[in-house]
Amino acid sequence: MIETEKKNRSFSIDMIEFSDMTFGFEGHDLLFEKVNCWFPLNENVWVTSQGEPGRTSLLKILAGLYQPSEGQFFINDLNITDMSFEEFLPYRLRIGYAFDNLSLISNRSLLQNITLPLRYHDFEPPDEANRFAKELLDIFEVGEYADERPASVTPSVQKCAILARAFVLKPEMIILDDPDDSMDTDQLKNLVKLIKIARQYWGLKHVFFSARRKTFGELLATVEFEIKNKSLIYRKRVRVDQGSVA
Amino acid sequence: MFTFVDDLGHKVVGSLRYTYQVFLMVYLSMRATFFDQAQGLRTIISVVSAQIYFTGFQALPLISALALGAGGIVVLQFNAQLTYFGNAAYIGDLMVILIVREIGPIFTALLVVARSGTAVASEIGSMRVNKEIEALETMGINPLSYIVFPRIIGGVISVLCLAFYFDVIAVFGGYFVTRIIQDMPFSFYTEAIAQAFAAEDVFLYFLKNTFSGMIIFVVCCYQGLLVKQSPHEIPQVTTKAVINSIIFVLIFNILTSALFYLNQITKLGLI
Repeated sequence: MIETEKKNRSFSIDMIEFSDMTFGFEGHDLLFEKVNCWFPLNENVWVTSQGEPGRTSLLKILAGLYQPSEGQFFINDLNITDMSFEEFLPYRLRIGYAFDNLSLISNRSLLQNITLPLRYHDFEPPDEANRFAKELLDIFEVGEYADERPASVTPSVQKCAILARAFVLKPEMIILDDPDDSMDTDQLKNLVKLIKIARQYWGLKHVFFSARRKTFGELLATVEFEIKNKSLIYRKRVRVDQGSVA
Repeated sequence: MFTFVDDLGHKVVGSLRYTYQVFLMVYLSMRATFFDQAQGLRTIISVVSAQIYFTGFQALPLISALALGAGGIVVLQFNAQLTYFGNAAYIGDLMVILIVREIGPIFTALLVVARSGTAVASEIGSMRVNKEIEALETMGINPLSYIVFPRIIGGVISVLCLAFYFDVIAVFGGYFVTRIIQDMPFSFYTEAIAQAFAAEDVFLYFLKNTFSGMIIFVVCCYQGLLVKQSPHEIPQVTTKAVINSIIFVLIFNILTSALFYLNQITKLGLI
């Protein structure tokens, strides 16, 4: 299943742009103010900040989970801030999102959590969905916990399941919020391996992530966006292919 | 004086806003389920089944005890009084009026609020806090069609079944429980019940129990979804869900009964 090529898509994500994007939570200071930028595609984009808040919010805006308070967010020339849940659905199914913690459905096993989107949208028959989900868990070497519920496993195993679930729809764009949180070095290497597999076989193009550990960010990133003064600063990074992710 | 008018205005506007938002949630959950082709009906049906299992099946022992108690008391009290006045044949009418029309729907609703309404409100509140609802959205699953709609449908089916079960157990179980201390023949009792039972009782049964079930699960789902971020909000919304559900169910039952008997009196030409 892993080696199979991704099914043909009717369209792809070819442009991501903020136009005068402003965002803040009600009753709090703004996190972003009139941000204008194009996000480079086919890159590993590392979202950083020097203590300034907004990394998770930026990633959630990119995933369509948060709407900008003002301004526009374009995907392929379409302003998605005006879209309903149903209208945004085709894009949403092309975006995988891994939360920093929690977020697994508590009354379902890890395997059921990962297969839920496949079964809900009838993308795969149950047997195929289970097999693929197990393969994803095996990449993180946590396949033995497949039938356990989230509360019965360690945060590290939960994190692996959260990451596996983000990849299960074979997305074209993946957003990982602090994927190195609760993960050990080997598991992070497995994540990097999974991203490579997804890029090679499943048509993954765009990776956006934040990181708690600088070394992990430096290892994976090809481009960096730093949140500074409620805006975004672009930096091209020189890729470090060797070294520790710890 | 102005403060009183001001407060009253705030309360009225608040109630109207609450009602509007609850109806909007119901409308959006129905629309998402029936009109969005991408929604997985098979998965939704499995959530409906789970809800029926938790709300309906698992409540059977408790509702049995409640029905036997209520039925036994009513049979015992009215049998003694009616025999004393020589009107024992009216036991059927009284059982149908009290149990099927009034006590059954209210007791069932109260039990479902206490058992399942609290569970639904706190479960959805926990899902909010644990980012499970956001996670569903990232998977392209509309939380309204996956969480709200199945709970309302499962809840309504469960309430209808539980109310029917309550009525049967209360009417017949109540008789057998009190058999040792009253000597009414069973055939006389069943005949009296059969004669008292009318078509409008079936209508009233469906009307009261369907809407009670809907009120309970709509209100509890809505309150659960009001949780924003913190776990300390969960008990608050759960309490509010219970209070609102009970108030709305009682008001609905009283209004329905009042309109029903007003209609009966009008038919008899007394008004």
